[in-house]
Amino acid sequence: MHEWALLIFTICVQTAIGGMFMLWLFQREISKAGKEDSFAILKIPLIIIAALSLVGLIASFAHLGTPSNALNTIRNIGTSWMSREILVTGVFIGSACITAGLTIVQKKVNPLLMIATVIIGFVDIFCMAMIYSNSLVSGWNSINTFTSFYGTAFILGAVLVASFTVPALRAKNMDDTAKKIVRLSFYSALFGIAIQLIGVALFPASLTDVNMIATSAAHSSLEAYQGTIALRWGIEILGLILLGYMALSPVKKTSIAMAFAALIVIGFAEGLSRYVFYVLGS
Amino acid sequence: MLDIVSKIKEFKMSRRAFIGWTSAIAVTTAIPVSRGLVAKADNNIGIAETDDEGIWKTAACWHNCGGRCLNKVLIKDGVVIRQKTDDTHEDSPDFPQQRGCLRGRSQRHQVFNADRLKYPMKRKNWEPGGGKKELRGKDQWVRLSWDEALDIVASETKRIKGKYGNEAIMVTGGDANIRSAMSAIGGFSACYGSSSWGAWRWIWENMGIGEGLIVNGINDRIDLRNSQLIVLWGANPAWSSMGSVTYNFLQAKKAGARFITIDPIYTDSANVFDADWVPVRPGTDDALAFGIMYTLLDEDNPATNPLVKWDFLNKYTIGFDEAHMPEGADPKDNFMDYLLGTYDGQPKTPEWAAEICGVEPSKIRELAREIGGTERVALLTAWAPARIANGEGWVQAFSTLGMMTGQMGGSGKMTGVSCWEYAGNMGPFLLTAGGKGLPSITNPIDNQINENEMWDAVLDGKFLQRYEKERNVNIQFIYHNYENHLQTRSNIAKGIKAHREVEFVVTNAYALTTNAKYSDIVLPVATQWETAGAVKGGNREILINWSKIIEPLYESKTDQEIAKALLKKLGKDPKEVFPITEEQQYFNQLAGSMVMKDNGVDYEPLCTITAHDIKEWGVEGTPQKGRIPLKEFVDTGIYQVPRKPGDNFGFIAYKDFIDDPEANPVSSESGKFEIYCKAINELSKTAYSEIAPIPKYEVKVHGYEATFEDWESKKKGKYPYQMINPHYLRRSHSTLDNVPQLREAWPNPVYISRKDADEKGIKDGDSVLLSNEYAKSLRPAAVVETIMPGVIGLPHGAWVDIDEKTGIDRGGADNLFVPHIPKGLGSSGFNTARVNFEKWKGEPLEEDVKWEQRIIKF
Amino acid sequence: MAQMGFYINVAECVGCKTCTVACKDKNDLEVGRNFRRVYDFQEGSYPKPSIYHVSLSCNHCDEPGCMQGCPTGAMFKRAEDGVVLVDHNKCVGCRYCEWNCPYGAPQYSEELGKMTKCDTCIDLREKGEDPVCVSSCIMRAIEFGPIDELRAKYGTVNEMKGMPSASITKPNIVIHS
Ligand SMILES: Nc1nc2c(c(=O)[nH]1)N[C@H]1C(S)=C(S)[C@@H](COP(=O)(O)OP(=O)(O)OC[C@H]3O[C@@H](n4cnc5c(=O)[nH]c(N)nc54)[C@H](O)[C@@H]3O)O[C@H]1N2
Ligand SMILES: Nc1nc2c(c(=O)[nH]1)N[C@H]1C(S)=C(S)[C@@H](COP(=O)(O)OP(=O)(O)OC[C@H]3O[C@@H](n4cnc5c(=O)[nH]c(N)nc54)[C@H](O)[C@@H]3O)O[C@H]1N2
Ligand code: SF4
Ligand code: SF4
Ligand code: SF4
Ligand code: SF4
Ligand code: SF4
Ligand SMILES: [Mo]
Repeated sequence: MHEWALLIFTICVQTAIGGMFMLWLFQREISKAGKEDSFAILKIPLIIIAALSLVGLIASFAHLGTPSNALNTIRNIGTSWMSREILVTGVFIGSACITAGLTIVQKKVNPLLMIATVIIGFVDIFCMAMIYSNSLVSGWNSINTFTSFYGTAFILGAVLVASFTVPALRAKNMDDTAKKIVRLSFYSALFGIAIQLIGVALFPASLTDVNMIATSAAHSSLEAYQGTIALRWGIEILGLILLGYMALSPVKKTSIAMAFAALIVIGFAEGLSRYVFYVLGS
Repeated sequence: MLDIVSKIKEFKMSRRAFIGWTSAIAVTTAIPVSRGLVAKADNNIGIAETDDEGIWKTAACWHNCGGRCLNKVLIKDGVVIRQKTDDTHEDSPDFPQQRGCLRGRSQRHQVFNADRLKYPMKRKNWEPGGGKKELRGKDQWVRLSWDEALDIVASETKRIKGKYGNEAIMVTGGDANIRSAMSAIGGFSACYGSSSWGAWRWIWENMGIGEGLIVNGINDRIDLRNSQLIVLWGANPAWSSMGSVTYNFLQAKKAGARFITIDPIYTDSANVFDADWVPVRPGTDDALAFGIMYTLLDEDNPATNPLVKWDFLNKYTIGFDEAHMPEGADPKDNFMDYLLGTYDGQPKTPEWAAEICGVEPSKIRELAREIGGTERVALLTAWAPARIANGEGWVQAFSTLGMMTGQMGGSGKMTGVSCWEYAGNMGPFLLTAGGKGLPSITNPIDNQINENEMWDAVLDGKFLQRYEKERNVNIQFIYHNYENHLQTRSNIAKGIKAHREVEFVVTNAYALTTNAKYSDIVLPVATQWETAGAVKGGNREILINWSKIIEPLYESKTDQEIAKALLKKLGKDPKEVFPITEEQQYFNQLAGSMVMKDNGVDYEPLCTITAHDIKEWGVEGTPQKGRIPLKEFVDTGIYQVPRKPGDNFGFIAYKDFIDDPEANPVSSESGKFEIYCKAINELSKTAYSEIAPIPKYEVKVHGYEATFEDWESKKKGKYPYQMINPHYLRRSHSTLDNVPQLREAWPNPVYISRKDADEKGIKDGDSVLLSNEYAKSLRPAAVVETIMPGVIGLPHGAWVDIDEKTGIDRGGADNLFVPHIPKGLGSSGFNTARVNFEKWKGEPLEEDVKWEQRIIKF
Repeated sequence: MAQMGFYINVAECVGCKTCTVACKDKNDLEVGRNFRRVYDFQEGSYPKPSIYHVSLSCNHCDEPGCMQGCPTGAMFKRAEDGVVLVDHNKCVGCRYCEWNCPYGAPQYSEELGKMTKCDTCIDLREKGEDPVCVSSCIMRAIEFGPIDELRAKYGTVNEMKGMPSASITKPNIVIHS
């Protein structure tokens, strides 16, 4: 596995997209609290999301052998999904940063910009998945690529937003709202996991003969990684339980520590999952 | 989780490897190395700069590699930027280009390897007399000036000579330079061995047959196309005779020949010739041959099924049956009665043979019918099946099979060795190189130590002077001159022990070879790209002429310069030993080169040399008329005699003898082919173990029977597998094994049959620990269907690399496992070794292409 | 000029890898980068095994996956002879072509940060010489020329067991097995 840059890039950008989506959903709830409060609460997560997308951008540059030629990458929109993805990713990162920037400058949240960014983001995830599913790498040309990428957005984006809003909500004694956002994230994460599971279930069906002479079929490349895969699911479920506990327990106060713990645990699980994904290509 | 942890480790490792690699580059840049490989082009005589695209010169590919091909290098702005092979004429099967192999194509990476030795050096803890001798092989290196280094070698030579006499000096390797120098100062104990030939080495002359190098035993390549059946009995030209040999054989296949291979391995030759593969256990070919010969006798009917060529036997051989025994021999000792078991009660039936050699009796009978029942058969064996202990009987048996079936001395009929540069193509040389013109200096000391005894001789102080009696010897100084004895001779562990015992060890080397690694003083030697040039023969149709490509790199000197400098330090005039320059020696070779005329009998000089040439070269000589101008030969780098069917250059081995045996006797005592050969039996009585005058089955020390604890009950022993060492395409013996490109192309695994691997739970690529009573070694497994179960194939020549803490080698050095036991006339038992193997439970072995190179940083 | 391609005589290849190494020499390729690669296969089982070796470089395909996916347009197919080349002025070194070529032909250069691959030894061909892999093969098992001529001479087989389906990129290769 030598695709560390791509691992970081996809995880960051997908998380940013999912996070933006979660924020947009949540801002409607929060707007009831008034402009000022909602700005104060959403500011940090927005900055984090913009920062994540920038980290993704940097990572994507790190993947390139000749970054100085980066501008060339959008020259082949006609046939290359990578070109398209790079373009859309650029637009997403731009709008994520603008959204965050404008919010800070105007000191108010802009739901329209947010939803526009989210839509671009969802198109971007589609393009990202098309890159891999259009390649010849055994295991990538599968529905699993789509479910895995969207799943990451719904899971990690949600947990990210939850963990970074809870502290502000707690500070403002908005315990009910905190509970709500955690619950919302929990459902989003559940949804993400569900679609990832569908992808996993459909994965074997999509495996064709070897398309590339030098590589092995997905099932044999993954043979040595069964332990990693099991570990990933174990951790992921642990994170979900944590999140679920916070969302559904009768305790009123939402633990900040627990929220971050859930973020770290689930983030690690998604990272492992993506690691295994890139093993296929190496 | 483990897998991810190991991946991270691997990541770190490859980073380290990357840093290692960059520093390797940094080291090479000491001489200017750009993206290409830098060399200072010498203004070679006879080549003018043609255009600014650089000049092509013929460069040496000088190894003992089983081939000889044309290799050229492109030198531009003083940089060797590319290589190529023969494009001097159109390619055709009759007149093929002499295309080089992957090793030749990697030559510039050997010459400019990051691990080239740059300066003379000594072992840090060396002191006069040895000093911490046990540190040899693991000590650090200290850089010396040439003056210091030669002073040390000279003073130790004098000291050891004075204290123990010249007998205490052992010089290994066949190169004349150091040998001549040491001879001139009073001599040295020499060593000898059967190396390539195995048991063919010392008995062929007595039997009256050819051994495949000095004397031709088979026909030429064009006649090969007349054979209907070609039996490759332990021969794999696709691996061990690179260049055009396999392509030549392919022409015979296209002309209609069928192929059979008798080999423990289903080789690439077998595959490309679509051969019927008969797997046989190593070192048991004699048993198989007896089974075949028994069947021939058994099924022979002169009228209806003439399998045995009685006329041939009666006319050309002695000893086959009672009626044709030589005078003085016991008639009961004839071969036919041995086969039939008349006196020993054991008929050598296919059933008897099958138990030993592993070939089904039905298959043995089928082989007999095929070989005996086909008109024109080529029975070809490489030396490999004879590179075994107690192998003489095999050579006798194989030859006798050819005689029984009359497959000798006719078109398409041949029985003999097809190996090395002459594989599938023998006959008188159509071209010969001239001599160098150096005086030959005789060694005043006649000690000849058999290579199977050399390390024991060092350790125990005695050896058998063959054909005489035991002698005492006190070896205190080993000078490794060329060759790589510690690596390529049996029982490396014992060799290392011997090296850590003597007072002084010196090696001339251009990389840290096994010899060099275990030495006190290492003198950096120039490669053949850095010497004056030479003329070298290969197959009978060519003569190659290579030029100097660059000046000696760093501080290296040629072997001859070293020998001369040493003589001077020892107070001898180098002119006595080397009266002429290396350029003059090269010129003499050129001037003396001869080519056969179209009549197929006479020779003429190859080169026309003018007075102007002589002046330009600055050498001594006389003008002469030859076939081509000197300059043309130097520029082209090769002269090849074109061939076509029906020309005057065809060759049928033994034809003269077959046509008129009285007028053209063979080399044996009787002048006939000796199936009963008294001389061999006589020789063996003063050698290592007795050899019967007729072919007889003999149990080989460390052969198949020795893999059992109890043969009768077939209970396997501690080392139940047989090991062979196929010559391997990544290297020529140990030479070129250090070239990363070649390591990448041929990863040097140990070949294990699927069946054996399954039994041990070993998968392809798993690290495997090989072991026997002498050593342990690690290799990745190549689990294959192409090797006979019970046989392990460890490629020949990998550089031994012992972990001093565990004593385990990780390189896969074959000779760690080969016993040091002389038998018969003293041939080495390379292909009769036994081992056990198991899955390695430690860290998996990293591919050796990723290992750090042996770069010495001062 | 016509579309060019390779002919590989698998039946007569001994798997020596001289072609790989000769190409390495011509193109100064370090360990890890091989414009021509020999893939070893084994079939059957003891005592009737068979082996074969497939020597492949780039097949200069009619529908090159490498090119379709390339985001920069650096990977291009030369009009005059259909040779697929990398334009180093454009290549960004994203390595995406590696995942889109069935034959492992694109070979990434760490040093350049760009993709490299078999260029059919264009420089030598311009001088009327054969590609190096062709002139180096000790079994004379590789030929290069207009694909139509090769097909007329040797047939149209362009895939074999162990190789990816030719339908993916329509390779310009003729195989004799
Ligand atoms: N187990 C086992 N052992 C075997 C065999 C086997 O099949 N199995 N095969 C045997 C056979 S057939 C043979 S012929 C022998 C070969 O045995 P060796 O002749 O010992 O083998 P090489 O490895 O070719 O050794 C040549 C050495 O000379 C060095 N060298 C090259 N050029 C020069 C030069 O110009 N000057 C100097 N000073 N050194 C130079 C090389 O670096 C290398 O170390 O091995 C035998 N050993
Ligand atoms: N690539 C490469 N080629 C070389 C060399 C090299 O080092 N590397 N060295 C050269 C030199 S100096 C020499 S002398 C020649 C030697 O060349 P060969 O004598 O041909 O030696 P090998 O290649 O070891 O073995 C040839 C075949 O014999 C088989 N064989 C081994 N033991 C037995 C046996 O007991 N019985 C039977 N029937 N078959 C057996 C092996 O499986 C192999 O297929 O090679 C030359 N060619
Ligand atoms: S066969 Fe020998 S001489 Fe010919 S290229 Fe290979 S290594 Fe050189
Ligand atoms: S050089 Fe020829 S014989 Fe050798 S591997 Fe390449 S294609 Fe096959
Ligand atoms: S072989 Fe691969 S790199 Fe070459 S043209 Fe076809 S798809 Fe592209
Ligand atoms: S590495 Fe270069 S040639 Fe390959 S897809 Fe990327 S930009 Fe195109
Ligand atoms: S044509 Fe040239 S670049 Fe392509 S594989 Fe052959 S030698 Fe290498
Ligand atoms: Mo040899």
